Parts: sequence; C-alpha cells; structure tokens
Amino acid sequence: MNQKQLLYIFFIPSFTFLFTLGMYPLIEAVYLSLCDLDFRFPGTGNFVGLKNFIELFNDSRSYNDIIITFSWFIITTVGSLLVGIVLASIFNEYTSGKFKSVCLSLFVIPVVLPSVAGAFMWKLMYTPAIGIIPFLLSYIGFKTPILGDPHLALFACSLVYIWQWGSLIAALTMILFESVPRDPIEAARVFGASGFTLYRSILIPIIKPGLISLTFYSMVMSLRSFDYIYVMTAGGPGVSTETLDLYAYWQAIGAAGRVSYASAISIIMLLITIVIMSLFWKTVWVKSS
Amino acid sequence: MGEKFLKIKKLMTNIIVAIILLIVLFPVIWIFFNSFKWDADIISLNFFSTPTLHNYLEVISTERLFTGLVNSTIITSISLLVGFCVGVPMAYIFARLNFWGKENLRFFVGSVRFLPPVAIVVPYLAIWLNAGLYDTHFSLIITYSLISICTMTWLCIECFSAVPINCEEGAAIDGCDAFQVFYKIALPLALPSVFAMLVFTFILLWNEFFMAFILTASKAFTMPVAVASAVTAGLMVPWGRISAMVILLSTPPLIFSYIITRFLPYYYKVS
Repeated sequence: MNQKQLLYIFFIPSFTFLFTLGMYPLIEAVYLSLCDLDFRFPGTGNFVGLKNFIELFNDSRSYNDIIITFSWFIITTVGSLLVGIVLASIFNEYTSGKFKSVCLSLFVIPVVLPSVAGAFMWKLMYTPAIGIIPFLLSYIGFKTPILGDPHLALFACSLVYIWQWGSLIAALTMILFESVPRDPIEAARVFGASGFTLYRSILIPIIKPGLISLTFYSMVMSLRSFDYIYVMTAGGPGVSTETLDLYAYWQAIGAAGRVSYASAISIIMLLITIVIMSLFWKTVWVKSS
Repeated sequence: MGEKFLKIKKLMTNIIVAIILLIVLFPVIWIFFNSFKWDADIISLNFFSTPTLHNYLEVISTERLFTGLVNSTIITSISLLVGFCVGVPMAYIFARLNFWGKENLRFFVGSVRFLPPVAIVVPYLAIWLNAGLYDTHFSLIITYSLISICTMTWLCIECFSAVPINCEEGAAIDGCDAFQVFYKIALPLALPSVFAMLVFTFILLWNEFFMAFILTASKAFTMPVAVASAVTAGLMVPWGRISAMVILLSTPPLIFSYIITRFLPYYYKVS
C-alpha cells in the first residue's frame, strides 16, 4: 500500500463524513432562517426571505442581547487573561520545585469541572442566607442579593467563567514561564530589575506568542456562555443577563417553537464570532508572528 | 535587619500563595463538605456537623440521575470511539502527507471546533425532529461525534508531527508499506500523547451541556442536563442532594484530569 492509497482509505471517507456533519447544519441554519418554520403551527416552513432578520433588527430584546453578549465577551476574556497572568506571575515567583508542580495541577481542577457544576457551586455561594459571599459582604454593609440585581448579575456570572478559565490560563502560563531560558532573567536581576518590571518588560513579552494563542482559545470559549448563565440566572432578572444563545434557546424551545427565528439569531451569533475572530487574527496574531 | 526583613517577606508571600490557592479551590471544597451535610446544616451555615451519606444514597436511588449517568456513559464512550477511529488516521494524514488544499482542509477542521454551538444545535434540532430521531441516543452520538472528530484530529496532528520522521523512513526502507508504517511505528510512538488527547476529549464530551440540553427531552438526556434541571427547578432547592449530584458529576473529569496532568507538560515540551 503506498501513501496515495493511504490517503484514499484514511482521509477521504473520514473527511467527507466530518464535512457533512459540519456543513449540513450550517446550510440548514441559513435555509431555516429564511423560512417561517414554527413548531406550534403545522403547515409552516415556507420561504419568506429576510423577514426573520428584519424582525430581529426591529426587536429591542435582540439589541439588548447583543450588548450583553459583547459585555460578557469583554469581561470574561480580559478578566480571565488578567487573572491568569497575575496568578501565574505570583506563583512562578514565589513557589518552586515540587510545590510549584502541585499548584500547577491544582489550577487545572476548576476548568475540568463541568460548567454546570461550576455554575452551581457559585450559585450556592451567591445565594442569600446560605452562601458565603453574601455572608462576607454583609460585614461591609452590602445586603443586595447579587444574582437578583440587574447590574451585578452579569458580573457575578462572569466570575464563574473567570474562575474556571483564569486558573487554566494561570496553569498554562506557568508552563510557558518554565520554558523561558534562565539567562536573560538572571541578567536582568543582576542589573536590578525588580519583580514587577521583570515580568512586565521581559518575561511576558517573551511568552507573548503563547499568550496570544491562549487568548484566542479563551475568546472562543467565552462565546459559549450558555451553560453558566442558564444555570445561574437563566437570563434574569428580566433580560439583564440574557445573551444571544439564551434568546435563541427561548425562541426555539423554552417559550415558543420558532425554530426559524432562532436560526436567524444563531446566524447573527455566527457572524459575530467570525468577525471577532478574523479581526483578532488580522490585528493581533499576524502582527505578532 | 536585612535578614529579618527577608524572613517577613517570605512569610508574607507564603500567606498570599496560600490565600490564592484557598480561593481557587474553595468552591470545590465547600460543595464537597456540603454534600455530606443535612440541608438544615447547610442553611444554618453550620460548618461542623456530623457527616452523613444520605444525600448520596438518595441521589443514586433517583431514577433520573441514574438514567443520566447511564446515558452519559453510553453517548460519551461511543462518540469518543468514533472520534478515535476517524480522527486519529486523519490527523496522521495531515501530519505526514502533502496534498492539494491541505492547509484549507486543516483550517476547516479547526474552525468547526470554534463555531458557536448555537449555530450547530438549532439546525440539528430541526434535522432530528424532521427525521423523527429527536431525543434518541443515536442523534446525540452523531452530534457529539462532530465535536470529538474535530478535537481529536486537531490535537493529534501535533502528536504525530512529534514522532521522529527518521523512524518512519527507516521502517519504509526496511520494507513496511504506508499502512504498516502508521500501524507499527507512528501509532505506538505517538500513543502516549494521543491517549492524553483522548482523555481531554472525554472530559470535553462528558462536560458538554448545551447540545444535550437542546437535543434531548425525557429519554436520552445526559448527566449535566439531569443536574441542571435539578438546580433550576423550583424554590425549595435541596442543596445537599444537588451538591452530591455535582460531586458525582465532577468525579470522572477530576480523575481523568489527574491522568492528563501527567501528560500535559510532556505535550507542551513536544510541541
């Protein structure tokens, strides 16, 4: 068997299978978004052109959801990256040897928990009267129920994400720090660079390519906010934490059977993802490499 | 004085490190202890109570959670198997062979992984409803296979690239054909890191919630869906039982992540 035959046997069936699985739903989504399929009414599913999109652009709830989606995206991406880098710097500086590798594996624990489990843990911690966070906050005179407050709920939910992915970024950044050659660091120390300067102007620039791919991954994961928000607030209070995924869910299953409208929402979500990712790719990734 | 200052500084940094570790692990520890308490002790913030197993006993005897556990096991393992059988050979081809449009096809494999799940799951909902396969194991396995194939292929390319090409060329000179080179040389050499990627994909599939939540109703639901429905149901929340559920749900990924931490530094060294 030569390599060409291997290509035919190993690759072409597998890739065709994958391509069908991946592309068919996307084409179906585009098609559905141009129809008026509604599970509540039989006989729907006719072609209606851009009606769903026009309705979507006149829907104030979808504007709200786009803003929430962007806020969630920015808070979680920036937050997890900052937390990750700060924790990694502290642990890289102040721990060593065996203890350091133990810390590294401890940092992996939050992210391997199912997002549903993580969200429940924090929901329990936020719950008034039985949670630890209201218990601590009541000492400084803060008594608002956190998940019931429209302004705080989104930040409260994003903390779960930052907890999970920030610790993973911390662990991976520690591995990146390990890979930096010792000589320039020792030289900088000899010339009197203190901790903060050392990290800001030497170590972090050296590991920047690694950090950028971590950021990219974190951005991808951040657009999957559904699990966290659904378990913690289900979009409430009101629609103050409702992202586009949740709106699509309510339209498709939760409240109504409007699959076509939900498809239109998911197409918008898809476009947002593509735009963000290609902007990031063009401005940050290509420039840095 | 200088020595004393250094000692204080060392103590302070140790305290900071300990506090950070405590904050990172606190939610897990707290749920773990709560799962061994009666609801009354949880609500009264009673930190020291006699541990009880009744939450676990009650949870395991709940039919819904048990069904979820069985479903999760079946669906995750079959789609993992599909991901392995389809993804690993494909990754080998990507790593070793050059052909027309390779980089574009590789980008396609990665980009499917990066799509927002809502863009895949809403059309799949319509597809499975039309086909009469909504809420079956089969439909969820197919949908999960998409994730597992993409992830396995994307991650295993690195594993195969790391295999020294000399070994494969040597085997080819010694008379192995292309399939034997893959089966007898490349696969065994890459197996430790491929195994780590398999574990990673397992965790990903086991934890998956959104797709299972939308594509199932009362029969094929997975464990995260069962737990989430208990969490979001009603006002009288049985905190103790849910804590026990969450611990049961989190145990397999935790065990497997311990395995992966043995491989992760190795993987980073290789790539």
